[in-house]
Amino acid sequence: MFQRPPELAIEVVSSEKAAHLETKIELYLAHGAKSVWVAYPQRRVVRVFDPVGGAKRFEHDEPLVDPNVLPGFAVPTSAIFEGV
Amino acid sequence: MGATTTLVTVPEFLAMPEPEGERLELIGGEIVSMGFGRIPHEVVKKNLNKILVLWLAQNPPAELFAETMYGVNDHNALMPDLSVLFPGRIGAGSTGWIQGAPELAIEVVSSEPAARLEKKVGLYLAHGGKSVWAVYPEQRVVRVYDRSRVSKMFGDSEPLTDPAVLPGFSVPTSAIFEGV
Repeated sequence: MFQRPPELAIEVVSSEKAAHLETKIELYLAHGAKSVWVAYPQRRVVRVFDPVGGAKRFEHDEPLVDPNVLPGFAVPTSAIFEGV
Repeated sequence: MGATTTLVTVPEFLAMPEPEGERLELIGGEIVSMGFGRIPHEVVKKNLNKILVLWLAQNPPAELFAETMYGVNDHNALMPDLSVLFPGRIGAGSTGWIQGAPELAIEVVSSEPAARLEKKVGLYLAHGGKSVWAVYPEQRVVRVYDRSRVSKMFGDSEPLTDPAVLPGFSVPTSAIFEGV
């Protein structure tokens, strides 16, 4: 088992409680993660949370980017939900 | 052949008899039970209610509503814990339900699934809402969502502000969680 969270944690939401998810986001970010992506398949939205309390929403064909963790990475948000 | 699901409309939903001991919302044409808030949920709601009533009394004309049903569109009727409405939304002698989302919807989070909360945030903001506060009693944080792509978290040690809906409003976030 790793002793610290990953630099980037990705959570795909299904039946999880909102309060539980919020705890996990805060734990990742408080203990060293640079970013947390939360993907909501039903709404086809990704929220990218940062360690200073902000979060950015990505949807449709907007390119999902996260330069703090993956500089240069860009993918249409819709590609994440292809087949859903 | 798969089963056909008939989506319930807001007028149909609001014409249904209210079940005893259960509070319901209509989300995406489906009737969902809201569950009941435990003590931390109710204490936070009470704190927010008091803070906003006092502030709005000094800073009219927006007004605070509690557990009010909003018919946000044809298949969604939502009841935020608290809501702020700008003047002119309810005409004198109006009956029925309030159409569209409140300018500010406040959801105190307890047992709600994350996917459902995300859907509600999206619905409020897509149907007239300017801002949504998701208040987490256990984590002692408030996340403020608006129509921009960026949302903001307010922790225990910082003042909560929301200039888009309540210009000039500022309260220590810890005051919202007092007694929890």
